[in-house]
Amino acid sequence: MELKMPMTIATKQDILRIQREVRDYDVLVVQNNVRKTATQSPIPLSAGLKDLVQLNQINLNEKNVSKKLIKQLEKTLKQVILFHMSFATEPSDDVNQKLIAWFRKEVDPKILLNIGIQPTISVGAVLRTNRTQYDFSLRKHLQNSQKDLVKALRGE
Amino acid sequence: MNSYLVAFGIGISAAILSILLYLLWPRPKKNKATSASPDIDLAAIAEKKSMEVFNDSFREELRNRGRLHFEKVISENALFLQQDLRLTTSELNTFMKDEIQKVLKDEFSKYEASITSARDIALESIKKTQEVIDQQRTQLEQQMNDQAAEEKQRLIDRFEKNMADILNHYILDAIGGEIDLTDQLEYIFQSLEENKKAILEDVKNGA
Repeated sequence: MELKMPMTIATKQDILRIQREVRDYDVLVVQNNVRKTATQSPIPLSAGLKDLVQLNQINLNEKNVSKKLIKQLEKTLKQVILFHMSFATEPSDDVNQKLIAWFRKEVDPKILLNIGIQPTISVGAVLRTNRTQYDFSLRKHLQNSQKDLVKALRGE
Repeated sequence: MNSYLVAFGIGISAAILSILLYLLWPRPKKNKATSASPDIDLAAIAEKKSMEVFNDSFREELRNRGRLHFEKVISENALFLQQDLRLTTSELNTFMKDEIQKVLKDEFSKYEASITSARDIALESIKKTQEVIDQQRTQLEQQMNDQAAEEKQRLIDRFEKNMADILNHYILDAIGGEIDLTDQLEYIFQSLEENKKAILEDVKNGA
């Protein structure tokens, strides 16, 4: 069964971080079991992991679930479709989630985004798959509109 | 003409003076012993008589008369000579004046012609120079206009060629970091929608 990725997990780094968190969680669960304190102090989860376990209805407290999840995450990492997207500034989480939502809905649910910063873009974004680069920047838009701009300048 | 008259007068006077001197000049006495013949005696007698007629006082009288006549002739001739000289001088002055005027007139005419010619040549030269300058000025003007038009066109072409970058640069300067990515999402999604088919194709082909 494939893992469903929540919108809060948008990048490859998010999956790697969740992996580390699950691993840490597993260690803590073991420690709590040894100390008999599991019910007294619940381990706090990150938003990504919380959404992941809720979306996939996973109980991390069950035995071997953490290890299974880590393996599934490793498998997912191998299966994901990785897109790179560059912006002029660091996008907010909200923007990231909206973008990943669009990609997963319109293109493929396994898509992850690597976010980069490229100040020369100024306005817009540049999307790079492993086959093509799509320039959605203002510069490209102006270059595409050069003939119209020249016509406008000449008053034609 | 006057000079001929003066010379003639002087010649006449010289001839008269020569005759008088010949007549009045004393002759040497001949020796009686050597004249033995009657002819010679006659001659001697004649000479004696003539000597009696032409005695010293008579000779002195003739000499005085000759001197007076000579002085009169000389005085008259000097007067004529003076008049002729004055007339000649006057004519000579007139002649010289006329000649000098003629020569000066000719020289001035030549000089004027030369000046006129030089002026014409100078004017012609100035005119040609002016024409050359005008021609060069026109060429230079045309050349500068062409270069200006060429430069203008080159600037326009470069501006049009790099217009996207220039506008992008100015927009970037103008907005700086003012535009939030959230405001750009609509444009980004619109671009994604426009390229959705190509992106799907990429994924299908192993993105």
